[in-house]
Amino acid sequence: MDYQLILDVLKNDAPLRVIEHLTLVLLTMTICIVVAIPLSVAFTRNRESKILKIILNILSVFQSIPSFAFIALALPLLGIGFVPAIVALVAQSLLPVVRGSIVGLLNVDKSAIEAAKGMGMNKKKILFDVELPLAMHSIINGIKTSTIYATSAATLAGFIGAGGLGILISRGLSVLVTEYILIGSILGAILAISLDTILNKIKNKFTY
Amino acid sequence: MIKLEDVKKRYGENEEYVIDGLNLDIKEGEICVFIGPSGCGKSTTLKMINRMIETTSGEIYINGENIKDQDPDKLRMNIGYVIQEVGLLPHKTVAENIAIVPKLFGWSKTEIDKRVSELLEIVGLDPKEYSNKYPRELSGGQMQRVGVIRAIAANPTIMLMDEPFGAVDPIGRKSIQDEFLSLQKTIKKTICFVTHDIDEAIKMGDKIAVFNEKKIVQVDTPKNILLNPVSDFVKEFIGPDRINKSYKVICAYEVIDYLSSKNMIEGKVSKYILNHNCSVAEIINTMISNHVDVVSIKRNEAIIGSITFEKLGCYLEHLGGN
Repeated sequence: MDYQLILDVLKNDAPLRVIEHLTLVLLTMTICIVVAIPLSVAFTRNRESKILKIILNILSVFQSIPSFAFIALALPLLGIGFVPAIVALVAQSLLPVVRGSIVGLLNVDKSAIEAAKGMGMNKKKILFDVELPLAMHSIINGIKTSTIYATSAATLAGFIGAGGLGILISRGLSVLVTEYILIGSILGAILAISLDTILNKIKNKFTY
Repeated sequence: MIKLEDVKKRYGENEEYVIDGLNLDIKEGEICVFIGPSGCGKSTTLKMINRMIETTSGEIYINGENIKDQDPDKLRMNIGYVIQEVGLLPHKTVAENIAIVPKLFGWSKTEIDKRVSELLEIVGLDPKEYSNKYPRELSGGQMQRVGVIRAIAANPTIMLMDEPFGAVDPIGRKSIQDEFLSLQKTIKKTICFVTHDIDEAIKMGDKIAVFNEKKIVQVDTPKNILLNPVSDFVKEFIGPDRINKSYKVICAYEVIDYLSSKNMIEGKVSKYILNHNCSVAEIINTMISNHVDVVSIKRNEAIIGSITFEKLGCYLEHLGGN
């Protein structure tokens, strides 16, 4: 094991890759949340809607495709770089957030909603003041699953030139230098565990 | 105050009516109890008054205004609503829960804080201790008390209560009923109160509406419901001990009035003196626990007559004959 090389990479190369990786994950998650929550709200309001059912089915299919295949597919369709990577990651990470939100919204205590309505809260107020806060626990659970998923899938984005820790791993693989692979994957794992811990802390704030 | 005119409800064009032609008039300051077997439409009727459920046909007026002409959310803000499950919002503190409707009305923070403390004190919960608690930290009885004061927070004149004390244990229920009745003496709300417990209905109601098969079959005072049920259904519903139950709702002066009309009033004054509006049950209790067979009844400090055990028996027999 070449410790000098490890130190060098950690000092010069790794910080940028971690930031790139984190950017990929955070941007993916932001888009996921912004898309998933309104989608779930729409779905819980119109449970018979065919379009929403189709969307959910498509998301399930997306998620069942292996990430590597998905990213490889994105390459010919969307080209290389940051944007295709984000599109692929979002498409694949959306489902857990949607599921978590739908489950959360459907499980909100009906008596709380009835009381809120009976007191004269309008639909919007009930959604923001009652349903979403009470569904938050389950929503964050979904976000957690997605985040872990996106963190691991984002390493593959390196292969289509979107940066991140995947760069270190792919470099390690192409020149067969174990140190690169180790650094890339261990930092990825640390990143995933840290994000998980942070999200758990946030989730516990929403336990009633 | 609340008037229902030929109200009907069905959930679809070809469905059967679940409520078929209700007429009811509830006066200001009155507790009207809706009672009946499950599925008789009593809760549905209650929910039509605040438009949680819309009527299919017929009109409902509150203070002469048709509720159809009002915005449903505004209408509900002006009507206190208490449900069996309480429905306190678990993510809000006790104080925040009570403040919901005042906030919708846009009260200032100081007004709200003052009102919250005042209300908590009314039901015997120390504002300092309870304001910042979350619903999960309360007992069932405390939750229901908070549910009740939350409903009256913004001073509605009308309250709808859907089996409000149904989930409280029997001992707790008795005390919360007593508390509520004494509160009602000061707040004098017009109340619709749904229950399936005939004893609760007799205790709480100024008037009882008995529901059966989508209709109201009898509306009357608890006493008349007990003594003069209009049909076998009502008779059966209130149970075989209806005469015994009526002892709680018949007042002493009614006995005196009857005995006077029959010239059976006792002249001698007993050392046990009860108020003219105490119940027959209390008279019997006084006789039994003190081993006496005569009690005197006073009205405004003047004795209006005495009742002996034997004469009380005559009166009760006369009731039973009805």
